[in-house]
Amino acid sequence: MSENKGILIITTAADGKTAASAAELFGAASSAAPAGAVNAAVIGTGTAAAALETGTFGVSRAFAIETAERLPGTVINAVISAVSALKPYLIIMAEDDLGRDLAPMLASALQTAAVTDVVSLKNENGQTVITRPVYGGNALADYVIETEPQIITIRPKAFEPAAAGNGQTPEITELSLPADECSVCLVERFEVKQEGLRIEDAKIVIGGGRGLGGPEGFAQLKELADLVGGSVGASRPPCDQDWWPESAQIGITGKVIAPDLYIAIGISGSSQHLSGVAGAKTTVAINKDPEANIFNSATYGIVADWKKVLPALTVKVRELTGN
Amino acid sequence: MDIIVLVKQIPDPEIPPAGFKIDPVAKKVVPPANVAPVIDPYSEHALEAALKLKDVNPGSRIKAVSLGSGLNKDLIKKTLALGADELILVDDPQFTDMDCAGLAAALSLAVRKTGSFDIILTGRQASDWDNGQAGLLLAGELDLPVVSRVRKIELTGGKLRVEKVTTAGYDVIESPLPALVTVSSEIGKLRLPNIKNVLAAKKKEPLYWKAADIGAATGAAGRVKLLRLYQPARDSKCEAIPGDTPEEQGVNLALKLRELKLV
Ligand SMILES: Cc1cc2nc3c(=O)[nH]c(=O)nc-3n(C[C@H](O)[C@H](O)[C@H](O)COP(=O)(O)OP(=O)(O)OC[C@H]3O[C@@H](n4cnc5c(N)ncnc54)[C@H](O)[C@@H]3O)c2cc1C
Repeated sequence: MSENKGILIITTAADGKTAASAAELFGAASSAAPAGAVNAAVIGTGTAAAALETGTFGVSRAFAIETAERLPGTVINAVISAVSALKPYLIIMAEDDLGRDLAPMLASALQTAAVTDVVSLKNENGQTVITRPVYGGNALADYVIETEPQIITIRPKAFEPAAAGNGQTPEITELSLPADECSVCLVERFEVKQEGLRIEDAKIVIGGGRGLGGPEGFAQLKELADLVGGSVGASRPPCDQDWWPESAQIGITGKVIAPDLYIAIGISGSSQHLSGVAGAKTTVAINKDPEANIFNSATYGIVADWKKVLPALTVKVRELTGN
Repeated sequence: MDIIVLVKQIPDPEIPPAGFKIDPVAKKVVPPANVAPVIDPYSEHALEAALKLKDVNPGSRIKAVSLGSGLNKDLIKKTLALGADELILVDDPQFTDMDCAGLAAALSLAVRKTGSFDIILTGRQASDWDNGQAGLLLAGELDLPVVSRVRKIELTGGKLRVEKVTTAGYDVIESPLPALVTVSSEIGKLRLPNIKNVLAAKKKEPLYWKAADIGAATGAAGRVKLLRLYQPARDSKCEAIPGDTPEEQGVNLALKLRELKLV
């Protein structure tokens, strides 16, 4: 029987505002094998305030790690001291810029193992069974980690967010980082401005594929997206060919989205693409090939040339929405 | 500079989903007949990164290292045809079902035997298991600084200066050498071989190493156990939107979306 107990949630904050994904991490914790308390470490800026907030998820001890840069190599020692203090059996973080590096680095430092991009957790006979997509989303694998602490990163939107309650006031420990000491150092950070709504945030996403044949097709998708307050994403070929920005690529190499409505136009439905939209509540496919794989995961389908379908769809939507 | 690039052989990730089969008992993918394995696409990006470094740092040497079991020499010799100076195939049945930690440990032994280096390049993930961990764990094993998902690499004043792809854009990051960098697809497609290199590669033979040659312990215990491998249930109840013409279907789709309160 291991000495390790409880779960450590590692989340981030900016200006005292906890990352939106935090609630999903706590949601994931509730599907794991329960063993002791769920506690937290918050990395970023305004972390003392954000750490206090984790009390609403029932956290009784929280660690605040203040850093503007959130580089894995810089925060890892502070995280290790939080782990030593808590001795959790499971550490959960988001599959994001920090988590996807920190998880393996932490696993290496602690002589244990990490499983990344997890989409579901099950408690099977007191053991946490971890599921993740493999082979570009063509298959799912169930794992158990046999060393402790077990470390996982959670795919965005894969878990129901936990509801914040009245909770309690956690005991906060502030962990400081060595000043100005880095081996791998950030020189500059560039945020590429995305026009309009980010595809990760949009409730309606219209996706265009190679079948659009060029950038002009994307202008038509944008027209429809603007009408419904949605955003336009793309499969890989249009991004490779600069028909649409890389930042809006959907799939295993791109963004993971979970909109209420996804309309896939001229997209065949490769597993690498579908991997990024598995969370969509309703999927509509417009493709001229009745055998296209996209129809296997679509709720509604139209087998036709999008050039004929889309203008009619757009006109009717304009009429119905009065926009 | 001395560059090591790690190149993984995997089943072709672009086989159509309908052709993808698994053997749930063996917990293995069953590659369709007559679909040959390929070099992992992200490894190809790592090789391109190595070649780009060599372009601007003449005199650099690239050693390509591939570790696995049942490696296809003719396939991986592509690295030589493209300009790698040496190819080492670390091929042993023992390397069949390793978890990430086991893989990183074996790779670290292979790299140590390979000799000194300034930079190790790997793909950001391999397109079979998509773990995205091997490079980071290997850096841990070798105690090297590491940057993941890099789209541009430069050497300035004995330091490495890279652009790391982030969710919001990119970070410019500096690191001392030697270092490990995992490469993202944004670095660009692998170039085509030129005739001169292809002919030169024909004459070159890879070095072959077995597990014992790098001192890899037999039957090393894993840390992660694969319990089950299965295909996700797809609900294939796709409802066709009615209509006699594509235009009519477009209109009916709009009506359907309104009925569902989606628009
Ligand atoms: C390691 C790796 C990572 C990858 N990552 C991603 C990723 O993140 N995202 C991603 O999307 N892909 C990714 N891919 C690529 C993926 O395998 C597919 O190649 C890609 O998704 C195909 O894009 P597509 O569906 O737009 O194009 P295609 O497969 O070429 O499909 C085009 C479709 O358009 C239809 N069409 C053509 N003309 C018309 C018309 N006039 N009207 C209606 N329909 C029409 C065709 O019937 C066809 O089904 C990755 C691949 C690898 C190997």
